[in-house]
Amino acid sequence: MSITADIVLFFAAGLFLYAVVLISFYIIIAISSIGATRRYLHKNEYTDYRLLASSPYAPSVSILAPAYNEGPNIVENVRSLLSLYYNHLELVVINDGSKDDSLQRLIDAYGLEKVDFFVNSRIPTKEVRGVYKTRHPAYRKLVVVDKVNGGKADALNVGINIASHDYIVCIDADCILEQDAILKMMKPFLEEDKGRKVIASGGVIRIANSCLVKDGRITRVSLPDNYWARMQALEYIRAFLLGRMAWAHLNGLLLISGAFGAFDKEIAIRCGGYKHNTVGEDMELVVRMRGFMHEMGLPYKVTYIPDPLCWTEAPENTRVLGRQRNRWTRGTIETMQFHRILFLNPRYDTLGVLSYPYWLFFEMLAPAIEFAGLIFFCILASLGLINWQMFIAFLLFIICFGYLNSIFAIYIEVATYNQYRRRKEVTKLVLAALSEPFIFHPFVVWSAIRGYVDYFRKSRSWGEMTRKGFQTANTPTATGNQGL
Amino acid sequence: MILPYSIPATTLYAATFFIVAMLLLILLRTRLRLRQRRQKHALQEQVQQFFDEWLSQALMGDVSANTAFTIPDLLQPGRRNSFARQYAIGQLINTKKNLIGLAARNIIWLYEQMGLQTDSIAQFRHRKWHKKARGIYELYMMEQAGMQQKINRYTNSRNEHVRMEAQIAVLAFAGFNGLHFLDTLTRPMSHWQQLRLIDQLTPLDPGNFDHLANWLKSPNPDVVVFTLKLTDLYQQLQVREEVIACLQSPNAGIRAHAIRALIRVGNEDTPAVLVKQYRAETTANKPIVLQSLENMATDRELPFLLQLLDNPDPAVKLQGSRIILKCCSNGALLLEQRAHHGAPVHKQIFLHIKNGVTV
Repeated sequence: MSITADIVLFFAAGLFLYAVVLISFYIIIAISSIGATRRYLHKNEYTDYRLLASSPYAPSVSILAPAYNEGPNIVENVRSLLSLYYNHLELVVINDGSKDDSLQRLIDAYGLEKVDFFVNSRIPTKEVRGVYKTRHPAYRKLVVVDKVNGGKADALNVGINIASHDYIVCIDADCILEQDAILKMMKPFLEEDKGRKVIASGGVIRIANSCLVKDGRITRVSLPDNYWARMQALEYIRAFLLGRMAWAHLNGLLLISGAFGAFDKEIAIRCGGYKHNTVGEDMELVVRMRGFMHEMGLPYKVTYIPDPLCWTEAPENTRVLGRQRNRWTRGTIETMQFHRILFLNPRYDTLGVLSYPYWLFFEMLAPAIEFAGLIFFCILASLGLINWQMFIAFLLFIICFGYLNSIFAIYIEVATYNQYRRRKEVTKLVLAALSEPFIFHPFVVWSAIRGYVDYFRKSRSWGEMTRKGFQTANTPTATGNQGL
Repeated sequence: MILPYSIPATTLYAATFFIVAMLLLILLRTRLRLRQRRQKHALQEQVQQFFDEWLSQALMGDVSANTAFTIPDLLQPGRRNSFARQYAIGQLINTKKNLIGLAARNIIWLYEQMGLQTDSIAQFRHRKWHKKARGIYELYMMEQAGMQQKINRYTNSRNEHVRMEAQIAVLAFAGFNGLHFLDTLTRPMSHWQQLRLIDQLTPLDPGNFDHLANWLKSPNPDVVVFTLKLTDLYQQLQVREEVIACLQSPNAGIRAHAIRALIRVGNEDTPAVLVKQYRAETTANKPIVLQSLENMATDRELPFLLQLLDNPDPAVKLQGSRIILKCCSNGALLLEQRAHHGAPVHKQIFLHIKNGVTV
């Protein structure tokens, strides 16, 4: 009996300690994000970003847009990217061995011709079949690369090899960028402080479901009608406006979303580019770049922009959402595994002693611990060892704390960028938050557990991301497409 | 050690109650924020309506002290109208940015008639950095030259944003003469700030550059980099020797900008200087030397350029080939011969540059 009691004590104390530390982190993150967001808003209150568009001293940027079977939307997506407001810009579209007519559509639409192009393969990649450019002056910024299929990481690496400019902005071809997205994204690279080189910068991704899109631009922002997409809208607000803002403030940001991130090209190349053997290539590159800078003894910073700059379509059903979360879990595990040397390693400062352990315990292990906790609870309940009064008290406390965190994120959103302006939308967002612990959260945890299982089964599947398409001004629903 | 069941349930309920109270407070605050936004939006529309009416009449005409003007109630000075007045300042600044000459002067006249400069001065005197910076911004945008002396004191301020606005302000008030703050600047000046300063100078006629040589010797590396940019932009040939001296700086950033500046201020001896520099430069600066040589190399540099073609790094081969094609008298022929007799990479590079692919 004493052994059972010891085991129960060990688990209970462990889970309790875990919860206390996690709650403490949430509080620190929330407080830290307020200061960081306020400072950013004050700093850029009257910034004239147009200076960057035309200055000869503005950083030169290559946008890398990998595309796989994006045929139905590729021409419009490229047109939207070509219209971005920035002078020193090059758009590199990488056709990753699409099985559809993506390449031909681009050739026809932009008058592309195959050119003799010397590809300096500083990062090894799959074979490049051809590079296309156009004589049309309006599309002179466009470079289209056709390559053998090798996955998103490989496509991005080809883009890095081809890119002629100093900075690369990696995006998903099916994302919609704000017109001034590149201007805002590049400004931090010009603001080195205390000699710390900015090696990467991330931007907020927002959910475009139910938003109105016209000519490749968001013309009306709306909260998604679909429950799952709406929950993700809330989740993104919480993650981007609180989490990433705070981590960037502490210079401990580990993840820049693959949908929209800017990098110093030279550092990315010296690190070896994107890794092929992970499904979390976006996070892995950031961690590797940070590790590299530490090892070289070079002061650096990874920054983050809280402005909503990029809009993406979120999965609207459990099948696709489950696959996405499964993949994210595997990507996180793989990154943590690759960079385990960082764990509590003081040589890597914040990265080693704070960021990495946080991601390990509270991002990667959180679903596993939560799941284990649930099983532990069921065992104790079946053995009649639960003090139900205490259980209810703890459950209420933790649910209310979760609500507080979400409601605070909604408040920050309203007080800052206020994308959802109608009171009805904010109410819907609050109601979504209230339902989260009972519907969305258990589903996300379950998907993550499946991600664990797939990781141990050595599954390398990306998982098909079926998309419905943006709601356009002309038609209620666009044709479907399949993103990377 | 505190264990979960050592906490009394009442404590947990109390903590939960506290959280719920916080939650309700935040919800209330959110609702208030939304309402405030709506009210502010309505106020903005009223202010905008006033401006639309006034501007359409006054922009093209000449307004002066004799012009009758009544400040509308919602823009009367006072704490109650501070939001509307602040919005009005913002709108006037935005309008003025797109105007010049008489129309711009009319905007300033309106700003002064409404006594908005007192609001800007109050911001400037505020102890919070962002208000002070905003005050400076408003004052220089509205050409309140009387404040120049007071703003001057902040060009080396400890706060980077106040410092940045003050530096822009002195240029806005005094043009190129305002650059004297570089004599005493000891604090950093980011590339963003340098870009803003250059933008402020761009519409002006090039002015006083007497101090360039001194600034190129400044102990503040950011001042040197900024001066090198000015030297480059305004092609200040008289400081060529000082720019060449910057090539010996231990700061790689200074050397990089000096190499770039030499494209515009160099002479016939500069390519040789750059060739010598190439051998001593860091990996990051070597491509910049080659970019500069692309604009000024001659047949005299051919032996060095041919060596580049044998470099194991294809990027160096590519840059070398490009310089040979562009600057050497029989460059195309030389490269073609290499393409036929050398390694396949030479052929690929030759085809690449022959077709004028710029990337």
